[in-house]
Amino acid sequence: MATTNAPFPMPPASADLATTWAFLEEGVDHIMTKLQTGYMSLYTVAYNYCTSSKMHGSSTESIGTGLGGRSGANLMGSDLYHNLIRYFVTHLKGLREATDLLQDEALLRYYAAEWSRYTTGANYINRLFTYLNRHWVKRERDEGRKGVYPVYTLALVQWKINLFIPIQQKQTKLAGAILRLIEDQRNGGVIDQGLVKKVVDSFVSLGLDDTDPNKACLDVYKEHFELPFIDATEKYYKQESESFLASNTISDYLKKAEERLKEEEDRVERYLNTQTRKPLISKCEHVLIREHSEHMWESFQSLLDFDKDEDLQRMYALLSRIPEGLEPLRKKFEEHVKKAGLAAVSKLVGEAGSSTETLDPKAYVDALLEVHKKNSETVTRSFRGEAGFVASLDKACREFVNRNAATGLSNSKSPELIAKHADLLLRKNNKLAEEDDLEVALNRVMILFKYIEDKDVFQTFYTTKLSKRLIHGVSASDESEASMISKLKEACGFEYTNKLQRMFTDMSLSKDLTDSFKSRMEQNHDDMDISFSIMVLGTNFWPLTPPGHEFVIPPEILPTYDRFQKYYQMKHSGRKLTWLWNYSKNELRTNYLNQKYILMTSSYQMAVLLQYNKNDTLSLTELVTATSIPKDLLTQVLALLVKAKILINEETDQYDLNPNFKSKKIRVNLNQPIKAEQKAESTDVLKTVDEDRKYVIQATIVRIMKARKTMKNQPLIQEVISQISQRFAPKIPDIKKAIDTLLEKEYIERVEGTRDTFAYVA
Amino acid sequence: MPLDGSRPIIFAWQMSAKEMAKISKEEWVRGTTSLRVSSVHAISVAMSELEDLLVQGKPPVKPPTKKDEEYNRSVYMGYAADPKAAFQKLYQFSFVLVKPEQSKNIDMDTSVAFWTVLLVPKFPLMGEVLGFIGEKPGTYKATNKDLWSMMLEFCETVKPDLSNYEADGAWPTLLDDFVAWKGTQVGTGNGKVDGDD
Repeated sequence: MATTNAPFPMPPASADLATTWAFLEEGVDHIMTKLQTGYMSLYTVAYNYCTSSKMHGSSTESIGTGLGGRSGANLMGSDLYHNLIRYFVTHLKGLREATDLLQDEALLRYYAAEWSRYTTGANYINRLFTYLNRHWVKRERDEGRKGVYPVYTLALVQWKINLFIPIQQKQTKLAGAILRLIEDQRNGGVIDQGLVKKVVDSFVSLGLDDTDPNKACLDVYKEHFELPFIDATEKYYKQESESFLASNTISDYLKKAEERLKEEEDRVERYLNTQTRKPLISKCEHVLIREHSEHMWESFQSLLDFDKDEDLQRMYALLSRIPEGLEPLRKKFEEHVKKAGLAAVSKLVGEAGSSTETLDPKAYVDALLEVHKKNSETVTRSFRGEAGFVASLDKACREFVNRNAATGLSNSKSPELIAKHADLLLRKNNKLAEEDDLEVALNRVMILFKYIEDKDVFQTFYTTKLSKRLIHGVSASDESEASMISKLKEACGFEYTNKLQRMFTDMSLSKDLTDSFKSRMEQNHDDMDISFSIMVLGTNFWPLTPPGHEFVIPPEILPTYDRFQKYYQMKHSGRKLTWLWNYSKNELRTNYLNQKYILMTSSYQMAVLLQYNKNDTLSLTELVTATSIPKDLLTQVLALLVKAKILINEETDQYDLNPNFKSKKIRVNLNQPIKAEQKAESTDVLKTVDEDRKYVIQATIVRIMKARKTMKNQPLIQEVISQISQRFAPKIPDIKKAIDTLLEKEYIERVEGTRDTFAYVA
Repeated sequence: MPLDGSRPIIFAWQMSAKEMAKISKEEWVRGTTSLRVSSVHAISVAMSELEDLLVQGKPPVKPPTKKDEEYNRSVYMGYAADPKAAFQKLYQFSFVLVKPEQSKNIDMDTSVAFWTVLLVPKFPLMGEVLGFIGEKPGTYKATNKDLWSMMLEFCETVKPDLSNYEADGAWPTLLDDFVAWKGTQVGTGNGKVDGDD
């Protein structure tokens, strides 16, 4: 210890050689000559004293009681230990008196300097008394005397009792000084962080676990620093956040709060104990976020309205730190997206005029997707794709995709429009130059498809449209068709696209069949001036209905008809061919005009026109008799021919062949759809859907009941809904009706003596 | 013997008849023997007492002394011990009796006629159900066994104000529809139905 109180003051940095050497020589000499007699001898003397067995009668002091009758070494230890305590008390008293006049930073500097000197010294002393620690102190502690410590710990305990506590007792002078420095720093001042760290670390060192002095203990740190620090933090930020918000926008506040939280994290990093991180940060979160969460929730909408991405990101990041913070945002976001979707469609409907019949499917799909895209980006960018916000987005989209101004109360309008859009994309004249563009467009359709509740309605419309594309050969490409089907399959499973795939199989089989029939006929007949192609389509897979009336097959094509009929029966005996005249088409060559035209017609138009091979004038009645086409349908067929000026209708119900027919084009397309057919299409589709649903519900109930044997009403209904909702949202009354039907058909029965339990009837 | 109301059904039931309005000789002999009735008057008394007990829900008669007995009341006394169970037997018997053999259902007009005589006297609510069915001609075409059974269950367990009807219960859709319909009737301030409470 002598060296620390060197008699010579340290020479200044500018000292000359003489002064410097004089100072150094003193030290060198000390190490060379006195170390042996100084330090080493101290240890030896302490050792000798502790191990001497003779009693030193002069010492009668003892710490604690019950020390009588010990061996000499024990008593010797006790005396030495006690003298040490006395020394520390005196030493610390001097230090303490010096602090009386010190305040704030000066106090901290003095304290930190003395602490470092003291602990260094105590370390040496501890080593001098190693023997005492190892034997006397250890035995005392082993015997349960908690008040006896190894010498280093003793020094700390004495520091705490004689210096630390007395200073703290004067209005927590030490902690107060630290807190003022921290506040200064929070206010933007520059402080000596190293100093704060030193003092704070001393608080940690002073903590003592009585049962194990080597174990770290934070009681002093927590009581004297952490608690007041957290309190001060709360007060500071409460005051700051309130006054800040009073004069600044929420955007600025979000930035501020974010910065503050970061600062506090750094503060722990720089000079506090890491254990303070949790209480400090959670207090800051409480004061800076939770206390103002209402305000943030309220401001959320306007941030959304003005697309303030960065602010949204910040608000999300802040509120995600408190458990209840995000739920209100998710709700508001859902509502926001829903409103945006509804507004987009309302605007579109408004532009299209009041009628939703004329709504352009592409515009409709684009409007829906635009809203989805924008908000989906917001979720990814501002809410980091958090699952709760994704769910809100999905919920809102499902809502406005299925119910909006265009759909009114109809559940089928949206699936219909989306299916129509898909149809337009997949047609030859889709205006999309590249295959890639088409793929992108189809993927976009799938985004909406995911949200459609009544996927069966989409399916039915899609199937109908696909059948038209295939029959009329207007599909853009087989690859794109296959790609779309595989997307649907991926989304809804094999069963959903089974029919669609079978339709393609039928198409390719039909092509082969046409070829083989043609080559066979070329071998057997030489009157082949009719070229013929056939599509044989499985009844169960195609949404096609045969004509509901008779049809007189014109003699011109009758041989071909018979030959194919025979050929097919020979190939597949037992199969029934139903001729779908209403879907067939023909090309007729004209011979009665100077210019030869090719008329592209429907079968009915063909049947009518062929009558004029033998006549120039025919009455409606004669035509009905000749073709068997019902009158009301026939008049529509004739109307188109008259409009195209092939026929002339000058007198009521009389149709003459126009001998002066002229057209700019050689190929004249007469095969325009008949209005009644178009309208019937939508209602037909819906009827099909309704019928299908009944069976789907019944089949589902039977399947469930077969597996479960008995089931109560409520769980059964829930199970049905959960199994079917993939395809459409079944209504409870429909399920109950299905149950009624199955009870009647005795697939299930009510369990005797219960009112709401059903059993499967095997 | 008066043949209005439920008496013909009760008689068929007592005779264990297989077909409506027809009683075979064998059934007749077995039935009359067990009731020990030998005159039209005695049959009439027996039927009217059973109707009062089961359909009208009146308290059982005190049997007169053995000597004056018009017919053997041992069956009657058996019913009187548990009229509810006895009525259920009669009610279930009626379904089988009315139902054409090859069918699983009885048509709605017949159902309504039977409910009028069997259920309406004891359960005023049934009158309203029939009123509802009458307002929707053609909606409900037939009654299957389940609906038949559940109709009695409905009458016996549901309060006239429908306050204990579970909309999400397993009731047949006809009854769900009825309850929904009655809700709108009250809602329109019709007020007539309130008188039943």
